[in-house]
Amino acid sequence: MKKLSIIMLVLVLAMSSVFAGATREKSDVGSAGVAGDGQHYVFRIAATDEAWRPNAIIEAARRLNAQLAAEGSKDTVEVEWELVDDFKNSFPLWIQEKNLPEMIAHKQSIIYKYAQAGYIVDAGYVVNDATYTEKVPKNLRDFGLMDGKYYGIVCDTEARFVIVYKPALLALGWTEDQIAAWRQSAIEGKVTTADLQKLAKQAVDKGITQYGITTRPNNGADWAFFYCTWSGGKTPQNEKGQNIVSRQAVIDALTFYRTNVQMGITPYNMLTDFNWDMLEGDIWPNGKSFCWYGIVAAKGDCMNASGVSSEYFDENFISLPTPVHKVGDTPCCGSSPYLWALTTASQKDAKTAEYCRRILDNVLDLDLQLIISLDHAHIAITTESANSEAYRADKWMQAVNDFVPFMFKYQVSPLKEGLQDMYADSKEYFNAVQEAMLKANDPTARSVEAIADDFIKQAIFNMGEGNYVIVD
Amino acid sequence: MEKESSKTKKDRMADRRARLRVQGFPFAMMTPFLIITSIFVVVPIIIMFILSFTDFNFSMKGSFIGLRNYRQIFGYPGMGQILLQTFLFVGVSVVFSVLGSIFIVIITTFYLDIIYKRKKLGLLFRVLWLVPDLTPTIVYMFMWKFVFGAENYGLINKFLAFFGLPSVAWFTDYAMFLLLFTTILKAASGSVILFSSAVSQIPENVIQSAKVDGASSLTICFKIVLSYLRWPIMQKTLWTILGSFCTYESIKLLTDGGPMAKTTTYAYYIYQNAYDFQEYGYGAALSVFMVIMSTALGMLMLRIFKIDKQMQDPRMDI
Repeated sequence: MKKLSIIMLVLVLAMSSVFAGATREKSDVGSAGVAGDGQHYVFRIAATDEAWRPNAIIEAARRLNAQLAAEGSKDTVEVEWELVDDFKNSFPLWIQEKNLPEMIAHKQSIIYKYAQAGYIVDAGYVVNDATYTEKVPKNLRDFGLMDGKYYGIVCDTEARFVIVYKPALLALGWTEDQIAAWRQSAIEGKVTTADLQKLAKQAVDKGITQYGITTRPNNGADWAFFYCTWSGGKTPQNEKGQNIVSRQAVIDALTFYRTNVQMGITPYNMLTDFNWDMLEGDIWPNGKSFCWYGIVAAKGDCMNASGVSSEYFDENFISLPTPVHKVGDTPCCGSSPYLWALTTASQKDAKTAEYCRRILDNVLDLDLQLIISLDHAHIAITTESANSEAYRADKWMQAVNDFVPFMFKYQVSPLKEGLQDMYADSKEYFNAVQEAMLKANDPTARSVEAIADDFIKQAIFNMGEGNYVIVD
Repeated sequence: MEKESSKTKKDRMADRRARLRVQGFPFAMMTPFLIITSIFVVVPIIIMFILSFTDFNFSMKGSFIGLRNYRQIFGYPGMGQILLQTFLFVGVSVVFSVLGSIFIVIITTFYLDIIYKRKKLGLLFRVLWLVPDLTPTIVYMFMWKFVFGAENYGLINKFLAFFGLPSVAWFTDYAMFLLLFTTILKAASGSVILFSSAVSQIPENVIQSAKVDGASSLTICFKIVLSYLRWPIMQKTLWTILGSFCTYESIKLLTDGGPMAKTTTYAYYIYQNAYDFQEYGYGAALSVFMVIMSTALGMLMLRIFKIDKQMQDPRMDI
């Protein structure tokens, strides 16, 4: 009898805890409670540990509450930040639990993946509303465009370009005016990769800098230069949205990297032995490299890693759009932007969808935009913030803004479901560039043509037949 | 008569119960293990096997695609290189880590403890040798990254520069060597306890008798010590083969499979596909193939070590 009582007690406790858990889950998922006559909406924004992104949304939601109150509505909204370490782990769990957050902040690779799977909705109703069309230039709005739909809404964007050590140019006998004119001609597409190589070689030969041209050492979007610099300044896609890979462009790109090593301006082991600490902590800020293929955040990263001041960086480094392969091509300023995305949970009713739109509109407020751009080294995405006094006072950011008219995002490849991650093909071209560089001075090395063919073969395997269109 | 027969029946039942108690006891003791193994090993293997015939991916959806994943494994252009690198990595790391452990144990336990009676010194060396195994892999690999850093940023290159010697591009020119070196050091370190216990178990009178018979310490080492190490060597070899076959975390941390995929092993390739690309179906097919390969290797090793014979021989308890 005693045993039976204990078993019953345990069962009752277990059942009650199960039901309590279920009730709690239900209230979380339901996320709308009654507050007076109005409803209280609780949304979740899933984002990584870069707190300023979700914080901007949380602040935008607070502003929406003020707007709703002014309109006489008793509805209130609240946004909670769900810290996500790795979306690859979290997304499958949300799907299984049917517990998607309403909004996420991430790059297009993840967003497009889950848009294909049907969990991210077309946010065209946000991007095409008056606020976005008035405040955000079209080419930046289109950063959220994937396969003809706005699965993403531009949140912030970096820019990738060449950063040149100005004292090296001065030591080569250039004047400030000549440097400014050279930069302008680069913007006009008149500075070629060969020109850059020549200058870098002079700087190295004269002992002005230790290295000529360096690159960021990671396997990432930088390597999509394959698809722009040597493809006339764009990431070519056909009308079906398939990425077009030009065999000749791959060969030209590999030749560039191999020649750099052969000219003695890039160390052959740049992509294998050099790490961030070496580059950001010493080589770049201390002017040991004539130039590097960098990113707008390089200033802050170098300041953090080496302790140089903002003034020092502004004084000594200039931004240059990536030189063109042939005069007349469009210079590249690629970007791998961060996007807001709305999940299917954001569309569960008309009010939720509407409040999500209004929150995203409020994020475009000038003060929030300046926090996102100036405090975190991102290009101003609204015309208002780009023209603001604070933004204009930042020499570095202001200069980079010259590239906005021809900024573009690296395209995702829409036909291979899932493999939108840069890893899928950038891993292969990273390996190809490594081989071109590592074996640059080896007489038994494979030709760049052979490496290019191997790269194309492996990339097609990874991305799936029909996803890449190969042209000669 | 009836009473007698019922007594016999009772006795029979009692006998049966007693027999069940005796014979059933080991099964009862094994039951929790069997349940846990079934849930966490057998069931996942079955799920993996089923998954391998689907295109299940990041979207948590998938459909049956027959043998397409298996065809894809052999269709990958770099598969030959990956398999070659895997067998090189497994073979070299197993041979050198086991030989390394034997060498360390012979020096520290046999010579220092038993022959020269310098037990504290032997213990100190053994403890020092345990450090790589006790260090978390992430810390261990980052430490080596710092040691083998490029130019004047790495410890060894700084040392070379101090003597006016040119720097070495370790992660470029010796990536596989570095991977093997760090793996062997860690694996050899882990075996020291096992081998050392085996050597410590050798009865002193056996060593003394050998000495009386005029055997040199080298002869004792080869004829006695190594024979006592036979069982632990077999266990460690098998373990290291299967362990290094599945290694991917140290590769991820140290070389990221590069340069030019020269340190990408089969396990690392599975990690890339199943985790980075979230191609769970393809990843499962790769894993099934790995289970087959490692089982075949394990069986081969058992044959080489003549496990049946060893199981019959009296073996040392450790």
